[in-house]
Amino acid sequence: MQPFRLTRHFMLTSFAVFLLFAVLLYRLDDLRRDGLHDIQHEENTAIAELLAGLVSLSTESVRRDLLVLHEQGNLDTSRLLANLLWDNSLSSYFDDVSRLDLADCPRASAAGAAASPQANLTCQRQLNQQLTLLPAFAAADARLRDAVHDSRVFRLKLFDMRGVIVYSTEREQIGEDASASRGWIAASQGRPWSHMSARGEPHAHGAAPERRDILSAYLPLHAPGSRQPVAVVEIYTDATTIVQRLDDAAAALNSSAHERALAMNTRLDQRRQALDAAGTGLTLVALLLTLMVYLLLLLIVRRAARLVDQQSLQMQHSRAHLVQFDKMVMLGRMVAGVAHQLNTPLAYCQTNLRLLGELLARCTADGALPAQDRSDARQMLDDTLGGVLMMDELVRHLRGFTRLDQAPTEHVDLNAAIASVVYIARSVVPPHVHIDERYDERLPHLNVHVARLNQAVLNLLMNAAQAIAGTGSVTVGTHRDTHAVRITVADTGSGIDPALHERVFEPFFTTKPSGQGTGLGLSVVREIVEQHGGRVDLSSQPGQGTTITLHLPLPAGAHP
Amino acid sequence: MIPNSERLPKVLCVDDEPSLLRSLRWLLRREFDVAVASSGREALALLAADRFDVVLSDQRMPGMCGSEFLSLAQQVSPLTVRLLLTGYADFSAVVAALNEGDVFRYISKPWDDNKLVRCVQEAARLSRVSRLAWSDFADTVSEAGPSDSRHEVLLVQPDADFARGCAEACGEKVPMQARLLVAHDLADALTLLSQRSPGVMVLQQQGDARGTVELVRAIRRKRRRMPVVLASDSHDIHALQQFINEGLIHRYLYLPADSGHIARTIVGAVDQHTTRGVLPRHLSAPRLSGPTQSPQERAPAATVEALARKPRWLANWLPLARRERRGD
Repeated sequence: MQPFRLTRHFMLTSFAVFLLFAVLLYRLDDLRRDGLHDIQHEENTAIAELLAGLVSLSTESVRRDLLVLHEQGNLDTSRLLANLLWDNSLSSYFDDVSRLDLADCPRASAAGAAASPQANLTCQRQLNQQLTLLPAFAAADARLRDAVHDSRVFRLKLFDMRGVIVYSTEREQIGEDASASRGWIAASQGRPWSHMSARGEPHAHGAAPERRDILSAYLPLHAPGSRQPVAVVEIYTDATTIVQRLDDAAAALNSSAHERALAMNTRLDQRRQALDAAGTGLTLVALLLTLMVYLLLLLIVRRAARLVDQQSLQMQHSRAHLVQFDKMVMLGRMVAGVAHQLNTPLAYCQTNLRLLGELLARCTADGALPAQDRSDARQMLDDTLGGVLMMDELVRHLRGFTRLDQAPTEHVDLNAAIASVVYIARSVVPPHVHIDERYDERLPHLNVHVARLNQAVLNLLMNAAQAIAGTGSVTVGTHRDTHAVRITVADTGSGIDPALHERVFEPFFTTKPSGQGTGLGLSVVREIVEQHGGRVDLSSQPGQGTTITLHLPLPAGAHP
Repeated sequence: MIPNSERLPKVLCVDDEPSLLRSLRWLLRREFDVAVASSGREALALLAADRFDVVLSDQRMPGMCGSEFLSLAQQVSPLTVRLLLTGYADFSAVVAALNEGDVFRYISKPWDDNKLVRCVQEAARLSRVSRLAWSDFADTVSEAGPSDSRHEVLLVQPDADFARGCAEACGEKVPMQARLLVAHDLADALTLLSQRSPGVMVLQQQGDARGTVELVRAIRRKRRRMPVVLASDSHDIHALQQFINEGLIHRYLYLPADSGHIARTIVGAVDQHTTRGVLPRHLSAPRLSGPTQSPQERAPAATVEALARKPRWLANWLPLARRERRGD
């Protein structure tokens, strides 16, 4: 099992989270910036449109007001003219005009389409001459010129009620037919009509475009005391300066509005940039904070990981110590058992030898020994020899048990090794525990670390013996399977609660009272067997006993 | 060694190893009438059938272990003195042999032949003397009324837990009224011992065993009849061997112990003291002897030996202490 690396795990996951967070934050900031930009753009356009609309609306309104004002003024002028000039010059002139027959000149209104322009022009010239030659013309002309002299009125036209220009300050226009013009039609019906012609606009009667802004007004002319128009007067007023001023004002307004819009735009831009900067700063601060938190956590986690590592190291150390301690305890018990086993033959051998010595002393004194003493001496020698052989066997088993003088891994006769363990264990386990041995003779020699395996088997034997409260038996056996060798240790002891079957192999798990065991025995057994590539099985019935099986894999080429 | 004894003392040896039994028989047969048994069960049958002075048992035997057998042997034949023979000191087995089997000595294999023989001789003498006294005891028990100090239990240097356990035991569990005298240090204990004569001393071992051995030796020299219960959590088998083989302690109370166990031990000790109080003084403290074989420690054995030859009434009244002092 791969150990859990806290720091690496934390660093990877939290770095991923941090990255995700950063990307998200950046994306959000981008979105916010774009949105802000769009909104500002729309605002700008709207404001510009609004300003432009306002300017044009106000210009229009001023123009309209100007027109109305002028119309009123012109109307007054026309009244003034009528009042001033009608009686002493105009009325006589109009009388003359009215006496003139204008029928032979084709009427623009009646036969305008039929008459050729050339014919019209000729007719108008004739009429012009006729009118200018009228006796009242000169006087009227003088008086009218006088009247408009030094005024804003730069041109004056008079129409009779037939639509013919009977007088104009531009003399060549006299005689023209203006009955089709809208101004005359309106004015002849008593309604004044004004028109502002912008500069460069072609003039009504096909004249060349003026270089001025002209306000022309068709006004009905009433004879004093009459309500019926007797003539129509057209007054041309030069509005260039006013319009110019108006246009200038509009332009100024426009430019000022534009300026303001521009200024506002700039200001908004600045604000937006400031906001942008602030937003970016905020994002950066957020990232920085996250980074700090990350670093702080990293610090903590690393510290924790170090502590955990230290603890696990200490744990390993203490476990190693305990394993060693367990081994020492086991060794102590082994030594106790072996010492007992050795001490018994040692005791009687010593006594026998001493007694033999005494017998021998008596023999040399007497020259001969009684038959009884002789047979005793024989028995003593036999017993002593038996005791020495017993001790020899024990020592041999001890050597076989530890095998400290041999390489860790070799061709091992497991049956012999286990027999040694059992021999040793017999001297350690309580005498009321009987140990049975059932070895499979077909067992191949194996490459194993025999000292460690012996330790494992001894551990199991001790556990088994401890599980037996009164009298009972432990059966140790080996079996050969097709792919593995099994070593079984079965006892008739108290058994293990099924709920604990897994836990008994855990280190430090023990059911013995505190201080009685380290709880490492079975975990060490498992470790040893796993080192050999094998596994440990446990089957147990509470009250019936426990069987622990060690499976050791056979090498591929092993044959029975 | 006991010239005017009509017959040799009877010794029963119990071990599962026939060679060892043969060897013991050869060793002891000159001075004792030796019987052997290869198991506890067999030995118990022999004990029940015949009167043995000494029984010598191995600890490690199949079927029934030595301490178990000895405790049964005590019931079957209380006046047979019990010896434990063991190949390797198994601490709990020795404690059990002392507390339940009331062993007189504990001998480890391999033994010193002389010491073993001497030990068995001592045991045989004790057995003989006890038997003599025992038959007398039945008559004297009524006249020797209990003194006031008999039920006083001196508790020496107990720690808090053990003091509480003892108080509990004496207050509730001990059927007879036992007064607990608590001495927190040695000076206290000596003062109390000079002023009063408590029946039982319960000593908790503080520090190493060697000091405790000296202490108990000193106290035992002064108060021979007072059973000493040693309370300790030590596993020191050599100290225990010394305590047993010098006859220093009556019981070994392995700590921590519950108050019931403490109570049983104290009651046992008080009973022992009662018995010793009735028995002649020299008989009631026969165990003060040790393997060191210094003259003063050998003295009681010599006294016992001498007394065994004297009339019983004299034995009861002889000022034994003076004799001992003379042996110094």
